[in-house]
Amino acid sequence: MTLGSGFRLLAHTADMGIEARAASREKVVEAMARGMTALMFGRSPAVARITTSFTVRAEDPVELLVSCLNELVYWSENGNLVPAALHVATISAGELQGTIAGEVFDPRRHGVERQVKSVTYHQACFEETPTGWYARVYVDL
Amino acid sequence: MTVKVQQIDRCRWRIPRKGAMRTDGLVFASAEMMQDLRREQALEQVCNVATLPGIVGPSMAMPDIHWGYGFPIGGVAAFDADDGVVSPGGVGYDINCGVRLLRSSLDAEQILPELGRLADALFHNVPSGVGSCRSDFKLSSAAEGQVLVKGAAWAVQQGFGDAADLERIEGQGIIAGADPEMVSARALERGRAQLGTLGSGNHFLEIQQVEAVYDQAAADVLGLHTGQVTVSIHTGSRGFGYQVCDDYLKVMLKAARKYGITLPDRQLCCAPLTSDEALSYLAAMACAANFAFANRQMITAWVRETFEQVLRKGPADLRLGVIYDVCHNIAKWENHVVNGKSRRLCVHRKGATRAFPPGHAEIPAAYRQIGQPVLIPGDMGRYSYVLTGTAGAFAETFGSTCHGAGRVMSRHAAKKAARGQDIIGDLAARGILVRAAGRATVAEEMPEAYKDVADVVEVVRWAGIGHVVARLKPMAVIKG
Repeated sequence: MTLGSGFRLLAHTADMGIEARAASREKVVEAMARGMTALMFGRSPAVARITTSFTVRAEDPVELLVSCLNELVYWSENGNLVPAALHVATISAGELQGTIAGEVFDPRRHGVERQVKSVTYHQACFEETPTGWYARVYVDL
Repeated sequence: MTVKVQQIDRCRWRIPRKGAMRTDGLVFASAEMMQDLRREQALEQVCNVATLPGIVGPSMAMPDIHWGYGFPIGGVAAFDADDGVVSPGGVGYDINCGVRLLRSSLDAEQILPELGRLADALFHNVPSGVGSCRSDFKLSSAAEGQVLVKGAAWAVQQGFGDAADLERIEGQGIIAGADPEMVSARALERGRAQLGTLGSGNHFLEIQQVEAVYDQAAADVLGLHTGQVTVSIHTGSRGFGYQVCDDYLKVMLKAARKYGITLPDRQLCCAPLTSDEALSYLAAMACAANFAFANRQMITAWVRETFEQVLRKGPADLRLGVIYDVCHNIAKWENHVVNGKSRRLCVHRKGATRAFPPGHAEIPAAYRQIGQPVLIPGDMGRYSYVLTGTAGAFAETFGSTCHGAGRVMSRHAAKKAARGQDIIGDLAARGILVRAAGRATVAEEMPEAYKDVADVVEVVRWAGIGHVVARLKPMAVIKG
């Protein structure tokens, strides 16, 4: 189930998962965000017309990852927006600052694949490996 | 992880207590279902739930069990009031996701000529897709506070339905102890935008006909007869509930560390029922549950309005009455007898339905002789069931039974299997109209992605944890 762009969607009986590998923490989070966008909107192209800054804080890296991706879900749902990209500006063990850019949902150009209830903590992973960084989450649909 | 399972009888399987488990697991399933279960992670999740502090009785799973996150879907677990825990993952993100069933005075033949128009009108009148909402409904912050505390009663007070509806809802459509102060600003924001919407995924609105009656006496009490038109509504607390769950998962992750609770899966994070964290969560959970009751009440009103408009008949002619409304993602304080003693327990049902027996005081007086109605939706191509609760369920599963068919195919596998198929066309050829906001959803929700709910209900029946009353066949399905 490879879609390119550094992430892969994972099978789950009722829901779906996303995993990604990248050279840095920042890049792996950004790849996971691309995965979330693909899961929600498929291959709908979105342009960066609206940009929002955000900060999430958490007790550990896994919670930080889940919080960041849930921030993307909220941003999309609340504004009826399709993400073009999530950029990580800074990331530490307990805080991530970034921006989400995208545009208002246009049914002529964008398609909805699935509505996401939330990113879960089930088997969530965000860790450094010998070859870079790895992340994984499962999403409640 | 290979989970060791011992067969007890045709439909019961024990997972012996091992390692960190504080109790056994008990799975209700057929032998065929168990073969499928051994290939995925649901049994491991039954074991994980069994490790939680203060669990009373076994960690259970109903026959619609499948891999969830934390708890398995179909999971039931009860916890002691003094040394047990509450786990938001044991309730789920969609707090009080549930099903409501309406009866009518109509027979299927009467509405067939108008079925397409009814389906179109319901699809238009009941918001379901991304960003959809009714232009004639806007919820203020002040009103939202009332929704969270009053539940379905708030909706009735606003003109959505009748007071008589409330008697036919689990708990009269309200869970006590709701405190909006325990809810985040973000949850409130999401709720204001989404009250009165169906949602997507496996949520649906369905026009059905009663295809078979298995217990005529019980069907008479419920007001059901063969050929009759019914309507099912399956939805929950929408973004409000999802946010409450996410907010409190963060609280409970901290709480688990604070109280020294070891978690085999972070999604099982929890706090002692006597703790401030638990009390806050239960108060917020109650808000979300009440939101969901109000949501289903509002949608009921729009269903009635739609039938009136399309069929040009008044409410007295259509008699679209509530048969019952059940929760299937919830944690409830209940009294149960354990080893001969009455105990107050916090019963978690994660994709499971309460099924109280005949005579139970919490059942509406009109149904007390037959037991609590239990509504079991199947997939959109086959059937759904109406059951009643039993003494067997009350004795063995804390008054719980299944909630639906349960998936057997991942969304990806379903979408792949659907390639080249015209699912909507195939269903239409079988007389089932589908109106959906997203084609991907239809593919992922294809009938073959689910267990045959008849097999699930057969396990329930055989095991004595549900009594079968009627089978309903879909005529039209509306999905977000």
